[in-house]
Amino acid sequence: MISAYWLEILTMAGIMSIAALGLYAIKATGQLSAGHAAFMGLGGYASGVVTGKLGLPFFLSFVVAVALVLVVATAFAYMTSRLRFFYQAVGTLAFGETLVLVMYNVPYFGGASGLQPIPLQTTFTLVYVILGLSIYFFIRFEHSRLGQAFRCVWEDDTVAASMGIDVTKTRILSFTMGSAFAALAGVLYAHFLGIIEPKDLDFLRSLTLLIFVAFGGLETHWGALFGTYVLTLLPEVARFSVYDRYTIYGALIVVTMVFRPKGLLTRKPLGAPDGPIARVGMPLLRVLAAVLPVGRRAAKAKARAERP
Amino acid sequence: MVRSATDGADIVLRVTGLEVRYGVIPAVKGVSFAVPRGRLHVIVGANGAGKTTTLKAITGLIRASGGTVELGGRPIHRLPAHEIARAGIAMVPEGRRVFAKMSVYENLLMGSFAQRGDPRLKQRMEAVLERFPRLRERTSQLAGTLSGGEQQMLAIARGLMAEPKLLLLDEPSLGLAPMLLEEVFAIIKRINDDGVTVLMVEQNSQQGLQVANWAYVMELGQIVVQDEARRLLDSDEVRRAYLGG
Amino acid sequence: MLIFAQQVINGLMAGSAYSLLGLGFTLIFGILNVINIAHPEVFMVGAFLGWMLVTYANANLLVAIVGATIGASIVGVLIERIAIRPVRSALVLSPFISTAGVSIFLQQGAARVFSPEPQPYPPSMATVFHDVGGLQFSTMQVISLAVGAALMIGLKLFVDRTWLGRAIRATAMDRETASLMGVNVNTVVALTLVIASALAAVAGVLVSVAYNSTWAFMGITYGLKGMAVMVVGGVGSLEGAMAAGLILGVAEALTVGYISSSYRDGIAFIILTFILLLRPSGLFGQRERQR
Ligand SMILES: Nc1ncnc2c1ncn2[C@@H]1O[C@H](COP(=O)(O)OP(=O)(O)OP(=O)(O)O)[C@@H](O)[C@H]1O
Ligand SMILES: [Mg+2]
Repeated sequence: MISAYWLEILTMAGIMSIAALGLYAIKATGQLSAGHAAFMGLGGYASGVVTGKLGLPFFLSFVVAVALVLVVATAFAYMTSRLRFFYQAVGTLAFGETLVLVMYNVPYFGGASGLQPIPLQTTFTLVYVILGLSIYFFIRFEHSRLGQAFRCVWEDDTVAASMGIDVTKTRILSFTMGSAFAALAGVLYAHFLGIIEPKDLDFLRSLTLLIFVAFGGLETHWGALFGTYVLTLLPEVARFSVYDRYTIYGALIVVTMVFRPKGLLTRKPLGAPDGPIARVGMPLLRVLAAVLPVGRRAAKAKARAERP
Repeated sequence: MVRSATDGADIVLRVTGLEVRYGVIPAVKGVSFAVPRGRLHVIVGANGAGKTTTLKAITGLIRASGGTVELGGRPIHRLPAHEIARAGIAMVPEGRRVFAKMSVYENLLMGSFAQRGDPRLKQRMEAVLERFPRLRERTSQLAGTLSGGEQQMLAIARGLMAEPKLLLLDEPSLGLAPMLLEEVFAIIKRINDDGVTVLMVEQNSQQGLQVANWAYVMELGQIVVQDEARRLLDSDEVRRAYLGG
Repeated sequence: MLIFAQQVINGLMAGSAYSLLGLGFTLIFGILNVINIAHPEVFMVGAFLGWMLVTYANANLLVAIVGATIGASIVGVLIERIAIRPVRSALVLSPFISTAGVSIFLQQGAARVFSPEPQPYPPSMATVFHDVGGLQFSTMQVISLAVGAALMIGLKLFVDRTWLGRAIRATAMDRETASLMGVNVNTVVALTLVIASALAAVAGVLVSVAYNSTWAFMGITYGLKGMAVMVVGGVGSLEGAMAAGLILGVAEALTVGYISSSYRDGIAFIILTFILLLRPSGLFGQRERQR
């Protein structure tokens, strides 16, 4: 049997996976959210108010949290729909940090010490049932018309527009859909720990989720799942001191991005021309060539030697 | 009668067996030619023939997968772009590419970046502005706010600021009204008359052929015909086959 | 009135650090089109280098700043070579994540080496307060503001008036064409990182001395504010970053003075939100750049 300790870690990994799937849904149209944790936390706070403050039943907190996040995310996505790439990242970041500020300063939400107590109602089974349903949803979604529209928008929004896809609407929809999964994860999170704090909403938490998705692989929902599990379980199995552990964690992310800029799992099979095997050599050479002046000097020497 | 492009003259640029690929797709397939000192050669050909790619390979913006490029006898095809520029090739790129948020004056200075510190820069600037009076009126204007024709003049002027051994021009006529077109070609002719060796790429072959000494017709990454520019212009056969009327 | 003047002075001093960080972000983004999430860690590394020089080598402030600048510049250039250049041509997100990895690596590494607690300076660096007509300010505040102002004016002159400055601007506008002019783009990129890192290192030393605290995680809040400053000022605009940093510093100080210190760290994001909604190109920016 798994120990209580591992049960807890696996439950947390499951919750984070649901949030990461949501971030994948946003990424699926080529958008970048640096405030995903804020939507997750918003769901957490909303559900915490429903159960902890008002004493209403647990299932109702899902309804309220998801509904609230749907409204807020749609409004936010609509207002910021002209921001792209980097600006969108900064916009979501600003949203998240502003929400942190609100939670810090409104006494009703518990201020710096967080909203508590929240009844401990999240179980391992509940998390994995919801995760299972979410995965099923994404598998079906992948092949649906909307899923294909998402991919078109990611690949080339001009082409997508010419095919009759409403790009702005699709992007808003993808943002809202992703945020709804964040809200689900937030409800489970708050009722798992019994508390939700302002720092659960901040940029560092959002960045962690982005790292999960980018590390695992940006192109499929499997990548998001894979990245979340690897990066949440790895620090637990690595027998180092806590700072060594996270120093290695940081280095691992850099190395992964250099060797596999699209993350570990991609649509390409292992042996493809730009599959993992073929890709190990080139980036290594690129890094070496960038760090050491050897390559350039050799090229220069060669050119000089060829001069008459 | 001259029957060869080079004719024993002093060769500035010699390209031999140049090959360029984008990924696995070949864009230039073994192109060879030479430009002697003081001449104006033109490469004409349809869209996608590989003209820009050839110039990019010469200037080091793309690495050639085969062949050699020599400037005054010195192989340059392995050098990075900035060293090729310093070796004496100035390029006026397709679509002008002036530095939009810099003034005209600063754009011209950038042209002589490789010779910064040279005390003769002032005279050179004076000479270039002499040639382009329209630019002189606008030295402090931002380049991005110039008209298309003025931007083309600026791009050419910027190239001259390097006092290059070889001036490359990629489609200087692109998007210009017929009036301006003649003016630009007249300027190019005058620059060449003053002793600057020029290699130009043109789609507007009529005008291009009128000012050039020698012409290459490129098709699908290869030079298919070459001759004196005037003769190509007169040859109905060539015009019909390669130059679209 | 006195309180107001006092807060403005405090604000300008803190603000010059935001400006220096925001300038670094803007310079790097301008030339690489990448947000370097690890840039605030260069600020932190600079602060620790200065702290080590003072603590272990009894260095004075000037030596500490010079040493920190050199060390941080090397770190900045290495970050570009290792974590940005190899992934720059991939997806927009890839360099964002790889520099985030560097950031975690440096934070945790510093926590490992120097302990996760803030490190105080030896008493020799204690700040001396002056009182002029009721206004309180410390020597460090004066030095910070003076150094910050000198660096900003120097940077502006360098970028506007010199050959290398022009090469940096040309490379930011059009890399390929710049190389056709004979500009060695790799050298320009390295130079830009050296400048950005040097500014961050100076800010790091000044901030850590002024608040008598050098901390492995000091880059986080400053970094977020630096990013906000870049956008509020207009991405790519040096004057914008300078002004936005000072405005932010003063806005924070006034918030602390008149509202509550618990809102202090959020002001940046409230300003940022308004700017993004009303004028995404920033206070001084031209047009939104897309890629
Ligand atoms: N960056 C690139 N990647 C892939 N293929 C390219 C690239 N640039 C050019 N090509 C291809 O190489 C071929 C030659 O292009 P090139 O730009 O040299 O043509 P060109 O003769 O200059 O045409 P034009 O007169 O339209 O400017 C074309 O088929 C083009 O599609
Ligand atoms: Mg072309």
